[in-house]
Amino acid sequence: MWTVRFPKGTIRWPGEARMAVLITYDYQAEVGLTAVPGSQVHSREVSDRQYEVHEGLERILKIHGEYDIPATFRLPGRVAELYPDAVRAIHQAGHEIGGHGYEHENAWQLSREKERETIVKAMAALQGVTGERILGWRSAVARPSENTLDLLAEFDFVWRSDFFDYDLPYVIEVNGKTLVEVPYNWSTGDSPLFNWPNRFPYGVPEDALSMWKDDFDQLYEESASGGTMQFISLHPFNVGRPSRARALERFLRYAKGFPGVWFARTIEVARWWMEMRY
Amino acid sequence: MVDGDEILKMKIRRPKGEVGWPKGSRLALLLTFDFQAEEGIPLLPGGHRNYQEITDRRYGATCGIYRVLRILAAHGVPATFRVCGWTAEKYPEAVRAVRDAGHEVGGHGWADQVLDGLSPEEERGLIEKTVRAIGQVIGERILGWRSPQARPNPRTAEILAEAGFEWRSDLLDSDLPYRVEVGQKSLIEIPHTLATSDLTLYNPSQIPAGIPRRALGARREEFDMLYAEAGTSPRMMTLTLHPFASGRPARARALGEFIQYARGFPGIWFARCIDVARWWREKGY
Repeated sequence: MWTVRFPKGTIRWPGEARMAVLITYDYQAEVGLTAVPGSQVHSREVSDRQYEVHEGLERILKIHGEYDIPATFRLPGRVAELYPDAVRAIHQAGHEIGGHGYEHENAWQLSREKERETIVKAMAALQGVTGERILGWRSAVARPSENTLDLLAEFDFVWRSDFFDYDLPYVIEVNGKTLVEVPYNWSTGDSPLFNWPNRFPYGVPEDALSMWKDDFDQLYEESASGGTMQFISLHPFNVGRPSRARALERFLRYAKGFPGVWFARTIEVARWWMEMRY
Repeated sequence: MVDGDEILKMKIRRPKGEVGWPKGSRLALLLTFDFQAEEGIPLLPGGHRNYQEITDRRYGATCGIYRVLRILAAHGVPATFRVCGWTAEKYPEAVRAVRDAGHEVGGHGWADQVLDGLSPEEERGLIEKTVRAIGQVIGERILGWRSPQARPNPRTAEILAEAGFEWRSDLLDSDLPYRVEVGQKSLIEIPHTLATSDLTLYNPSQIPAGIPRRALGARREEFDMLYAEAGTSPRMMTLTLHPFASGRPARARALGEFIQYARGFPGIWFARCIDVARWWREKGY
């Protein structure tokens, strides 16, 4: 079992920052088709996912490079075995790499031992390419099992991003260890907008831009009375498409125009949270 | 089994002739929220807990409700919150914050589970249990009701009227309230709409999942149409919202902009459901 400790009091971020902005990606290639309800695994879906290997990732990395904005990428371990060059490119650009299953398995359908194995294999595969161990995790489809937190604590993970229930990070105590949950949400993600299997019509890039801007504006305004966090969760095969990447670029330019915005990797936020004992 | 044509069998008195709102207002605008938190989320196959849905719903009680209350306070407008009994027990401080801000607190079932299959006795028990749980938190008996998922049973209106409720908001068939006669008593029905609700505009299992700007557009169009019509005869606009959905930052912002827009027009009566129900009854419409 675990205990949740939501933050109390006013939150401060490092330096003069009033708001943390986390741009994060699940990078899965075709491995990501496992465990997505309603997905077909056909050349159409596989090649749509592979778009991120051939085009999407490069475009996203370029944009982040131009604006000097660090990001977090969560990967199934198997992706490191299939596409080590892509994983190296992410790592060398200075972005954080976290885990996302070994083969994007639905954790809640696995036995405790099987799930443990996916974590061990994902850690080994990703470290095999980057030389560094992963410290953060999101379960496939953000659907953890009853055992996930226990297992992540056993391996001394620092952060996880599976729950949807708060606007800020919070501490979870598990078996005498402490993890920082950095909550996820659908309200700014690209999946419901651009890629829910067989649900049409898709959103258009302008929709995404306005959604990110509204989210930013509200949280920036609220940060006048204490630190806030914007958390955006994306997929390079979705937002790596030209028109969508352009909307993302416009958003990043917009957010960069405000003073006191801290573009952070998830690990930096988690470490800060621990250090400040929020 | 639920009798789907309940509405066709009910004794309904719709308004005839001229109706009016207090102080000559043209349009009554009802901002209403269903507040259910995480109880009642079905298990995943194999009996596993669905953390994704549970935590998404819980967000309404940990963050969403407070953001929504801040926005209502910033605009100085009253609203109605229909609360599940379980939610009042689990999150009493959130429900007290709603009451303390002067909003109406109504009922929304024990948890977010439809009333299907309940006998009238079981349903009466569930409603009474909900009334008691909320009453313990706010110190008052609730007077209004929305059934979970707005799916009442054929006997729900009667049970509510017998239990002293004054209004219900389960049906979708009008732009004005009307009176439902049940036995010796009556209930004011305050119809709602799916056209501007946040769960139809933001349901994450749909594509597009809901864009705050588009929701704002839909609500402004709805408002503009009703406001124009209200030039001839007063109208009512109801918005159904949920703290877990509309409490997300971008969506709450768009809601605030809608309220600001509506406030820019003369003759808008921002009313709680109980205000409308009492006016309706008093006027004998």
